[in-house]
Amino acid sequence: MSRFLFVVPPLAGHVNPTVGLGRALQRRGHEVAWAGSELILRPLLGEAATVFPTGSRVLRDQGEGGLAAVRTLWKEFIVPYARFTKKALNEAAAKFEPDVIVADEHTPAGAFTAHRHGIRWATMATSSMEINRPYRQLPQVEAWMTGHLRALWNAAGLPEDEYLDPRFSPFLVLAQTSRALTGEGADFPEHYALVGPILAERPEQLPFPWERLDPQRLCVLVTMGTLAADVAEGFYRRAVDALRPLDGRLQAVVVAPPEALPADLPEHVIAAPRVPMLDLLGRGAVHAVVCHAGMNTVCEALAHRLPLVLAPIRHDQPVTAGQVAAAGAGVRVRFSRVGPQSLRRAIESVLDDPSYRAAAGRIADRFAADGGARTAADRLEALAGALSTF
Amino acid sequence: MVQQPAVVTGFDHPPPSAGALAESAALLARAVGEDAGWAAAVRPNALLEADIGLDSVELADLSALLCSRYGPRADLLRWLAGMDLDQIIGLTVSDLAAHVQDVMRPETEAAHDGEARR
Repeated sequence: MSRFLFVVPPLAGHVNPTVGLGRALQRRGHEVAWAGSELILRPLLGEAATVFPTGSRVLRDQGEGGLAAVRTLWKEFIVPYARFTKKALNEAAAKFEPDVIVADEHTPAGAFTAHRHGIRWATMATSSMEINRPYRQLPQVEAWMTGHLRALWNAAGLPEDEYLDPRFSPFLVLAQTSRALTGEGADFPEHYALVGPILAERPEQLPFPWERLDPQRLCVLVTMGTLAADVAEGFYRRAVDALRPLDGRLQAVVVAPPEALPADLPEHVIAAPRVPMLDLLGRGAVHAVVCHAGMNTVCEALAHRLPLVLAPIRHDQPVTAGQVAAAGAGVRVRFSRVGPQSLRRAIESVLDDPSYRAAAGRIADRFAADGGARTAADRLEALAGALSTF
Repeated sequence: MVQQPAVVTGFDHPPPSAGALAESAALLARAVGEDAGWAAAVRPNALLEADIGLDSVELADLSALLCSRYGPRADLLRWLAGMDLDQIIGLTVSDLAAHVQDVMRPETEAAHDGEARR
């Protein structure tokens, strides 16, 4: 039996994969705990989970894209969150005595804590953001990030000559992606495990008006993720306009707060601020997904063999959207400017042209072979085992 | 080099020619999937990232378009490699056009220009 501590940021997309992985480890008899914002973690992990609270820091949406969003992510979140969780993480490590710390790619303090306590650590890369290294061709941008990380390392009191990049564990990087997306030729070191999506039912039971789903019509799910509510309003309106004339052949489930949607929603558009996503997909109730190309939503759709319409907003989303489009499983549209007509054409394409669904099915098969939580748990056990032989 | 007050960010360069601006707008339109009407309405001081919404993948597409027309020296990543984060965020259509103007010139002329400067 080993102990695993997950260090996660207060972001649903980064926490959810650790839920499935945590359960897989528990089923194998290991002890699992999380360190992070209890306010955010508790509803995602359930009452039974062990949480070492670090306090909360909310990542505010700045409505930016591109490198401006990257700058904000680092200055407003990654750097301050690393400073502010340092003490709580050291206490958690001292108390729980984990054999392995699994640190999110965007919580460097998890890696620092592991190094300080002499604990082996793995990186959890839930997005395609860091492992694709989109900025390696922009040396000054890369240097700016490394500068922040080195300053945090020094501020944590760690010896300068022992510096390790906290985004990439030298022992194990668990990446929630697949060669079905990165391309078979993508070159990753041996200690990078591309495990595919790690899906797990959320502990919460979310209500859904199942009786409104009409089995005679197709269904399109529209969701722009948990972080983009305020910038996505215009997109939701255009999406509703795109869907409006399609009432004869399809229904849509739009995941958005009511204030982001037009007041005159047509009958065939079912709106809800949150939905039981995996339940909806798992029941075969959905035939295509329109989304922001966030890694979790994309993986959930593809694992259920569903084609996608992708409107990436920022960060790793353009990269992920490009990978899905290149694999033939989706159509890319522009988030900021796509009009109702183009969006309608994109939705009709992925529903009517069977090649998109076939490509999504091929990716789903590859995901299944990648192994998800099973492979990730194998690799973590191997890392813990390697440790105990010392 | 003359400072252009209209271009407050990015880097300093003389105002690009109308031809280079039009070429830049046309290539931008292709990279982001817009039409000629959109290209004609693009303002020189529009920020590539915040106003045009150019993302990393579209940037790579734009770079590929430029290279196919003007050869490897048009590569945008090589151009961006010398800039820091704030400079890249501040890049405008006019800045892009200045780069396009550079690579639009025949190679011999550019080489000669380089020698004269040295």
